[in-house]
Amino acid sequence: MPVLDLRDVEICFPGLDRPALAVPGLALAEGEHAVLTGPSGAGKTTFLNLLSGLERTARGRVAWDGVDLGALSESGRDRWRAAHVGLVMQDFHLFPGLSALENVLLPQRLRRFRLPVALESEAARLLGRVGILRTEQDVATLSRGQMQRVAVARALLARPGIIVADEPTASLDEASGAAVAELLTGLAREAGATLIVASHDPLFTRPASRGFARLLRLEAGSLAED
Amino acid sequence: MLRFIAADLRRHLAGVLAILAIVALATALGVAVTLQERTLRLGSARAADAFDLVIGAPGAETQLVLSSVFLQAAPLPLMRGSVLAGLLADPRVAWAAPIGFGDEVEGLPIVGTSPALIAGLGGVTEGSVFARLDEAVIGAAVPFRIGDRFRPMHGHASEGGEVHAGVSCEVVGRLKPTGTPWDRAVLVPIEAVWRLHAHAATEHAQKDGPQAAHDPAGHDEARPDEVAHGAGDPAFHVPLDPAALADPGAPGLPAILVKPRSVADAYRLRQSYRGETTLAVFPAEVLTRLYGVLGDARLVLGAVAYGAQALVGAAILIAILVHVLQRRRQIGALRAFGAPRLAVLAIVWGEVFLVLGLGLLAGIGLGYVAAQVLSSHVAGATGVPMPVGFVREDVLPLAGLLLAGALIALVPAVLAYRQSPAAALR
Amino acid sequence: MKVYREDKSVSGSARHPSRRIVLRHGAVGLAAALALSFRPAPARAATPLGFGDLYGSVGVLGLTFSDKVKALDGQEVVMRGFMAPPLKAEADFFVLTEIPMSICPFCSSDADWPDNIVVVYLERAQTFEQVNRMIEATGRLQVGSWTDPKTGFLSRLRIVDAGFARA
Repeated sequence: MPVLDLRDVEICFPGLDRPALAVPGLALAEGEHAVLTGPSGAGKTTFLNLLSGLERTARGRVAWDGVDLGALSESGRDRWRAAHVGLVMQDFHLFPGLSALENVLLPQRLRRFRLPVALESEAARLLGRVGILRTEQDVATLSRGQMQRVAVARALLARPGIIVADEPTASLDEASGAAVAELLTGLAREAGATLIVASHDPLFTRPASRGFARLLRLEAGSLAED
Repeated sequence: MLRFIAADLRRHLAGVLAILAIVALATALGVAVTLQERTLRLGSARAADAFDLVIGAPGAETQLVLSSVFLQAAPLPLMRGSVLAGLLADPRVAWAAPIGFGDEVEGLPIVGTSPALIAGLGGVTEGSVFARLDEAVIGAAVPFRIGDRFRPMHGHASEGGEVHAGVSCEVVGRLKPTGTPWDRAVLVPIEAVWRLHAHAATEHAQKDGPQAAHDPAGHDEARPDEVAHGAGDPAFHVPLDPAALADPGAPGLPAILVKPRSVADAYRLRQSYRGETTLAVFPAEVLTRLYGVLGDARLVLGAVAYGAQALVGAAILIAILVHVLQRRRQIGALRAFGAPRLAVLAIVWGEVFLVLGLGLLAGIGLGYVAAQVLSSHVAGATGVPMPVGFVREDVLPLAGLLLAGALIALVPAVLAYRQSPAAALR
Repeated sequence: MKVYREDKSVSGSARHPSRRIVLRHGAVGLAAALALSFRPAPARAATPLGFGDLYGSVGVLGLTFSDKVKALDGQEVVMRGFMAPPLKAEADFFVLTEIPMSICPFCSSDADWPDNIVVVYLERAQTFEQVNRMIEATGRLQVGSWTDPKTGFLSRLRIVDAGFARA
């Protein structure tokens, strides 16, 4: 029983005669890992946006666990994404001036009046797991590798069933990138979450380090699988 | 959410402070205009409160009130001495007191009057009312002590006045504080002023003609070559003579302050003393006319202030929109990570409104301080206490400004609300 | 004429609800004022009253109030007239006269109380700018002699808790 059911998706941008993205179908099983690769401009980010409900498609269907994202309202997709998707992005998108712990908690804090104590201890646990020990430190003073690890902890806080990472190692040096890649796959496996990483970093694409992950190749808007 | 807003404000502290200062200054301008206009009105109204009716020779009403009630010395025409006699005998009059000016001591005006006025101003708190021609009662704020002696200076020191030689007055009492320019005046018997000036005038009567002989108002300017002997102490060391005031042949007077027995009497006296030889006026009516002018000035300045506020509002709106556009990625990321749209709206609105609201409150304080400073200068220059204060009618306009701030803050907030998170991240 | 009857104790506070609420609650008043500024002011049911309506026949005992005035005692009325020059620059009362005030309101007759004036008492002392202009005063009519303890002013007919505007 696939957890992702994507069919007949086509995205067109005005002024382009060819669709930016045309994917006849993709299914992912629960807990499955997939690496999405392809040259820049191939539509990777657009594809990830579709999967995480940041964008919706006019044609076709994207459904997770039977929930059709196209049928949800804008706020409904926000709610769904907050509950089910953990996002990690190339530029971290941490908020300077707030501590590592506050950054991890921020999305959840904005969703409710009172933050459950359990969530706070879970945030501290996750930060420990990704190796950030000084949780009160302002994120602006962290190294880039540390920043991305805080972002990983943030993505996992709500125990999402889906983790989506867009070039998570592209702006890191090799050692930090390796640590982040390992954390992402390791933590996704621990949580049993479905992981989709867009990257052309050999850390993810190399068969040796890829492990069981499926390799999806996106080229000129169409998807192929190795 | 508040921590997030605080962190963002801290990061842009310089810009935030600049916007805060601009909002504060624009608000302060309007607040200061409103407060200052009200202060001038209430200060002058309260300073005139003890004086219901002023009677003088026909001329400028405003000048008469300014000179007699606010003690802003200026040459006034004189009316016949018999006017006072008539008023003293009038059953509609509770009390009537002459005033004569022209002398000063250490920059304080010396006012010649009668004990009736001292009683009318609330009496003395210390010592007693003058009983002799060489005795004086000082206003509450005059830096003399009971028992001090001084020599009256004729005319203003700045205009080359001279001391009335040989005459020295003793301070025998201190007036109750009145909150009026009279707190800084030195009161002497009007007869002393008459005698002093009659004596000095004989010195140059031949040069100036007969008019000057009956001129206690200070028209007879001191001349460098003049040697005023003044009256010797013995001539002034005599008791007051109440009959001298009631004498129809008494010297002319620039002004008489009148306390009518009733409101109806006040209107009747005003009517009967408005004629060819006298002018009767309520200080209140002169002030009311001035308030009309002041009200027009307030409208103009108020419009200027509103214009400034509108311009500031527009400029700030642009600055904030630019700021929000620069934060598109950050706002988009918030949404992408699961912040609800309403939280985004609230954050942007709250942040902008916080800055505008704080600027507004600071502006109210600043306007108040500005009005205080300005008023204390006016009070120092005129001796009229200037009460600066807010009234309950001020709440609505200020609430309106706050509301305008809330609406302005809504513009970038809605912009952020409508922004698609994916578009922001692309 | 239709007269809208309302309880006296209510009428006072019902007229300027926003101002009173603001006064009473201070900080909360700001919010209240914001809320109330969107609401239209409640209509005041005030009966127009002219200077000609005030007195009936002049009997041996002097002026007698007209039936209309007696019936309106304690009711909201509105009168047009001129503000006489105020006796005090800041005052909570002024004299409303039928004729513009280059003429003395108390000089037309020897009587202590001429038949073409009314005293208007305001809710609060204020300064004035409207002398000799036609104004419209609205407030509660009070009939009968009363001496103002502050000024000793004896009036026979008053409008109290009043507000006024240029007419």
